Amino acid sequence: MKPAIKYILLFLGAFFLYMNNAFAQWEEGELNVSFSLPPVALVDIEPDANNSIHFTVLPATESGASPQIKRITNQTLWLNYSSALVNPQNTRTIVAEIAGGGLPEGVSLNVEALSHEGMGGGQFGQPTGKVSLSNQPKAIITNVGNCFTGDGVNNGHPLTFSIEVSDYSKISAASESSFTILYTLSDN
Amino acid sequence: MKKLLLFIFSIVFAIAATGQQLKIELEGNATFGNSNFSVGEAGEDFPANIENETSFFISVLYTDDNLNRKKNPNTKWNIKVYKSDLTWNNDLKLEARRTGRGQRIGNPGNPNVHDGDNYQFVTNTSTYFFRGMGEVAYIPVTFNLSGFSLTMGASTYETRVVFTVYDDW
Repeated sequence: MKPAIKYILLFLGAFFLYMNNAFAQWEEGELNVSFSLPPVALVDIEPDANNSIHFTVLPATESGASPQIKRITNQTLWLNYSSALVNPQNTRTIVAEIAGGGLPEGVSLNVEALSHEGMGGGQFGQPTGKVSLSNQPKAIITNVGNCFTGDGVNNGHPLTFSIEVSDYSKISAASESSFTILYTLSDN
Repeated sequence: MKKLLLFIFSIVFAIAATGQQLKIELEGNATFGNSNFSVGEAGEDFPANIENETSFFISVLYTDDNLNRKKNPNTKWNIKVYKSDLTWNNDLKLEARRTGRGQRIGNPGNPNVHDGDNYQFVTNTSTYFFRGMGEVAYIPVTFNLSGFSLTMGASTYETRVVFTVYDDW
């Protein structure tokens, strides 16, 4: 075999190998994957069952002294919430109001949400401090962003309640009085 | 010399002409419905992960059916996958896995398909997914989505998943 032909055959061999790779077959197919995270606004009180609080107002032990107010139940209530907003610039507020029943005259009920504890993540709300409840909604937590507080007791915002005699002139002997506190998470 | 050039040209043309032997066809879609993104209790986040509700299939077929089926019924191929994000969040994780072997075309035997049966992340870099031989239709693939959270807010995300079939293993 002549050297020239030998080189040509070698060149052709290498060239075909290269071309085989160069023409390696491929083809693409595309699939669009999309999904939407929905807006969410949920709030509740934990523990779920038996989350009533009981106070009793006892007469003064000495003349001239003020009546004694005692909280009978000692469990802590926790405010849990989940929030997802369409507009990340917006925030939500949690308001509380007396929705069922009413307070005895001369008595005021205060609630205070403390800072978030436990699990969860995101932009938690900021407590507004002690608030005197009425049948008008009042903000107890503001600036709630996209977040979740964790579910159950020891997660979220602990709530503290207190009763004060706001007007002694209106205090009178009364039987048991019960009322419901409604919490609402709403857009600003 | 002219004869030699003609010979080389003919070979190159012949190799090029055998191009486009395999094609990939996708059927169905990957839908993650709104109802999956539910929060059971106040204080909870979305579920940790969800799988797509709808069926999605990949078919690897010959472009020239009769010619290639007879000439080379067991062409080896592999599939790679990557995604190209349109609206995405780096915390979101998309995984894919092959949940079946599909159906062999023109051959009653079991499809020769391997790998890809465990979830693997679909990233923005092309990555080997699974491989097989011959024409196989309706290979089922399932997607798993994780990493989403209420902390992302209410928003829509979209990515394009690209499957590429190559004619080798």
